[in-house]
Amino acid sequence: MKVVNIAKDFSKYPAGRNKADGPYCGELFRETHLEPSMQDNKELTIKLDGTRGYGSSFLEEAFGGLVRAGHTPVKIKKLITIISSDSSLKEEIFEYIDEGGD
Amino acid sequence: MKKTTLKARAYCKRLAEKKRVQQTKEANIVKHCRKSKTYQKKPTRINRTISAPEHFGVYNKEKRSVFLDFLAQLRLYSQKCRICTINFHKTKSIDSDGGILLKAEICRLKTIFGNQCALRCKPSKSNKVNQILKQIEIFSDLNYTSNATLTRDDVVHWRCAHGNLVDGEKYEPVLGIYDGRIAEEISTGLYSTLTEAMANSINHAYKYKHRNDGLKYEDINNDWWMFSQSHDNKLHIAFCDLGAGIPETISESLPRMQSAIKRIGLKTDSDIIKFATGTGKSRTEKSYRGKGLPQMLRVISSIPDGKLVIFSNKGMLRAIKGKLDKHEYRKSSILGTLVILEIPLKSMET
Repeated sequence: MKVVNIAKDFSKYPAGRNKADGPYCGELFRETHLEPSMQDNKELTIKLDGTRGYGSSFLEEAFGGLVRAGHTPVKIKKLITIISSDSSLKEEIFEYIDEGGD
Repeated sequence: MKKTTLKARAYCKRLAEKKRVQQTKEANIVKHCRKSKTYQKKPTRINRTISAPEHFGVYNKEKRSVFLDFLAQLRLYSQKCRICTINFHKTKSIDSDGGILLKAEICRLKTIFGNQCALRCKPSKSNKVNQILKQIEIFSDLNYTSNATLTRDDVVHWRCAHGNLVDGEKYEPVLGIYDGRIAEEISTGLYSTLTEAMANSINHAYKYKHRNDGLKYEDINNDWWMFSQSHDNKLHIAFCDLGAGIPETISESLPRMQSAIKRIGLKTDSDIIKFATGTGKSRTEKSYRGKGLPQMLRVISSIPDGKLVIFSNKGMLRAIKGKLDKHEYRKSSILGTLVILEIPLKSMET
């Protein structure tokens, strides 16, 4: 199983939605770290701790964006495991996955 | 017919020559300005000095009005004059909200007019004000070399950042120094709040309408400014943009909200700001977007003694201990959006 530590493998400063917003946006994270595993149907663990924090734009675009890219919420939740010391972040991400296609 | 004396003729000649030089100077300025892309109106004066107000801030109604009139005057003379000098002589106090608006306005005017108008300043008679102006780099923005030494404890902690992207790294120079004095969950909440404020500036503030400041300038930079300062074991953060303001942009970014605003009968800016903080709808009309303002409110409400104040155009919304109150400044608009956050700091000893 592949493990992605956002702070180490992506940035300590994730922020923004699209690439036009800034350098470490949700769209870039989704494209580089989430979608390859989703395409290959491989399990993926995402570690959220260690960054400065997460804005709703980043999380929604990264995870909710997977639904808009054509992956079902059931498949996403099956393949992706979220690890965070802040349980509310996990809930927020699942909410974005459930609402992502609205 | 009376003959003119030699002295009178020399005087008339000098007068005509002076007039000719003046006309040439003005013609050259007009020519220079027309070449510039930012040409707005024919400069009518070469030089102008504006007296800065005693107090820089936007909370108090009267003082706010004087301060915002001063900013309007600054915009007007930057447009009309070759050299515009701000005289800070009478200035006695600068709040973070007033300081950030002045800083932002000066940056914007420099971007618009470039070399067409040189902005200069004269220092204050107050040493504290001079220290603040030096610390937040307004003196250097105005090409003034100050010999004020930064000694005051309530000045040296001022920090500022400016950007035009959603760039989380900008958090560090402004707020990284408070690591250890802010609980980690508050720090992550602040980070998300401020990066969402950056996202709001970039995706909403400048996107739909021009700022109604009479300059007819199309902002393409999406600039934002951020300040922090600590005082009495409290951390004050100010974040602002000089876009069209929440009340102007919300109906553009969310057409369906426009009808809701009309249906409910929201007329004032403060009503619309309050409405915006309580919605999860967004630019794309989908529930998953545009949660920036509600997120700010949620984060600050979760911090004991946390305070959030949002000024946008003529409206103000304040959240203290989960309670909301609003105010409408009927006569004076800040022409943009200013978010003030206040959170308690752990004392240095703990």
